[in-house]
Amino acid sequence: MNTTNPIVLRRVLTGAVMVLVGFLFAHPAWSETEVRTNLEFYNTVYRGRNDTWYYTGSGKADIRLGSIGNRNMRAEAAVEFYPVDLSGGSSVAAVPALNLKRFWIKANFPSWRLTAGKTKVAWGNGFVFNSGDILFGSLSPYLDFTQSTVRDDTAWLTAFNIPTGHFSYIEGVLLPPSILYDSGSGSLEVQTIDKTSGGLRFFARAGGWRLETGYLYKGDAKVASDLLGHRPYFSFHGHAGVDVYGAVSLAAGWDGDAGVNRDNWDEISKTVNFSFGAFHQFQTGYDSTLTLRLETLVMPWQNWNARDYQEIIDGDAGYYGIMIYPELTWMMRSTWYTSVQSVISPVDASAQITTTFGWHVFQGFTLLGFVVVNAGDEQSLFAYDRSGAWPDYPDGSGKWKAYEFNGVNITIGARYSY
Amino acid sequence: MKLKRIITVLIGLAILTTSASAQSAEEIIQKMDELQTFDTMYNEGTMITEDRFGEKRSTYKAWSRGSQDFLIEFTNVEERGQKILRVDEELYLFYPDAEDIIPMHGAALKQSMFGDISYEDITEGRNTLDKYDVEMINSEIVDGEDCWVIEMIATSRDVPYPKQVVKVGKKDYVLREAEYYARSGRLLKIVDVIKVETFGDGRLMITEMVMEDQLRRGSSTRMRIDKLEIDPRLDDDLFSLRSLY
Repeated sequence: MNTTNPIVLRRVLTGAVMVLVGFLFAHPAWSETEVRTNLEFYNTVYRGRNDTWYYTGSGKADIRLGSIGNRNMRAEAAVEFYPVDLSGGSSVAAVPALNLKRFWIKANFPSWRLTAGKTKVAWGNGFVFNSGDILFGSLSPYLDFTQSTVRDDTAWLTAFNIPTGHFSYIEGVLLPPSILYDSGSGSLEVQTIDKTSGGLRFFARAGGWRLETGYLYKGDAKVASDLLGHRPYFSFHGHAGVDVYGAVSLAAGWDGDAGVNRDNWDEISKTVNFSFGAFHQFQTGYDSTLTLRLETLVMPWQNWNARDYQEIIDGDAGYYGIMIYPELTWMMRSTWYTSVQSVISPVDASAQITTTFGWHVFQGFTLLGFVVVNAGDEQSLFAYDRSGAWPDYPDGSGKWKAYEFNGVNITIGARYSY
Repeated sequence: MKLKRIITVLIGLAILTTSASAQSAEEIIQKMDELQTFDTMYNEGTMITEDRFGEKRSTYKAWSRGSQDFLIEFTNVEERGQKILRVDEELYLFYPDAEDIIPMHGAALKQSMFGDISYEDITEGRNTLDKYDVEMINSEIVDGEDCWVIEMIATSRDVPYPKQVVKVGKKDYVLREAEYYARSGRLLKIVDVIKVETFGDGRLMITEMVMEDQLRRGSSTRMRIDKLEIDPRLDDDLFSLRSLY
């Protein structure tokens, strides 16, 4: 058995501490804490199952403690509070829910940067659909545009970023297995080390285009419908008359969540996914702009025929071969804006359409209005009214509540940051 | 150049010297452009918009090198940590919540960064004569200063204000007032220079100005430099992606 000489170990540690102390004293080492609070309030009228209408109040409080003053060290702790938890995650639905959303430090060493804690690392390019986002998986079509941030997932991770030039770098990331909550027993379960995720990416510029490529071994799911196993990807962002961007990725090897070993092309091909996007903005008058964004997600070897909704929620149907996201936003004087966003499923001819109205009234304060309408038949991904074909609960493990969202939602709310 | 002239002046790009020998409109504008470039600069500033609902305030820190390299970091609570980097004709935005760097091209540069001010306004280099035909109109006394009055007509539709009239001090080449017009000839906005300060080596710089919207009574944007360092030593890697994270 190998043992480490304690004297040698002490010398090594002493040397490391000396280097660290020298570094800290060579740079400003002071920091102060800044508190930022974001409040969101919503009044929502929506249709539930069986054509029953509901009126609910909801919202979120988000308190952030950030460090300021030291350019070499940054840190943030962000806690989210929800007044009522309707997710089923807590045993008593009326108990306010609390979520430690962010909790990280970033240390800027002379030749590299360390990120550690619960945060996110943005890989790939894409606003709604991003095949390069293999860490968090930006493939799910179920999106809520009434939230201030779309796809705002975080996870515990440690990342090392090493610049290789002013506009190029290598980044390594290591993610421990998630601690799972077993709603049945109400206990937490720690997963074994083989569920660890880790990978590397390289980012560089080439002829006006920003290119990145990387690989991640994904040991466990970080979001719903995640793809596990070996995850290589490639992504680009550039300009060709309009801004264009895209990515491609796949999954190979053992996927414990799906219970499949993707060791042949038939299985691997089902995970191949491409995302493409285009963005353009027009000036409309002296102080207004019109923004257009179009994104699409293509999975060529997935379903190109409509499936029964029961199969979709059971996870047996996989993905549809194509999803489209169009967005149109008109902003006036940086004060008023209106937008139409939609997730379209061409395969089953359905769509979720979100219309938003916003008014930045006072500093940090915005009044908001949303109208969300599904358009599609009762078996489609986005059914206008699923009352006549409500599916069984996945795995028969529960029962759909009467207040499940059913096709129409009107919300008026406000956000305030201070 | 609508706000470009004003904001770039204010962000710290508009130091104007005292000799004034050039007389044609082109030479005056070119002289102003030349004098707005420094080896390096650091400044902290405040932008305040006022309307009948009150005041909105953004604060920032900005570093610049030459006429093309900029790094701006917002420091007010609502936008804290948002950064804008411009290097080699490319623009990058960093949003701390998303932990994401967004490159900007073409029309995206026209997105509003603050009020009427676009990303392009705040970061572009000085190329006024590339976008405008200029013509000397006459002279006028503005706040006691003898000024040239120069009319600027946009040569492309790629600018928000097709016509501007700028009033430039004959003694020091300092912008004293500017008017922005619609294509129809209607006056849209007026910029008043409130404060001009002299810095160590005798150079002058506008440190406060107000832009009033002529279409909306009581609506204005005030821009102010709170702290300024000229020719500070800046690390080379300040103008790199590394500074954004």
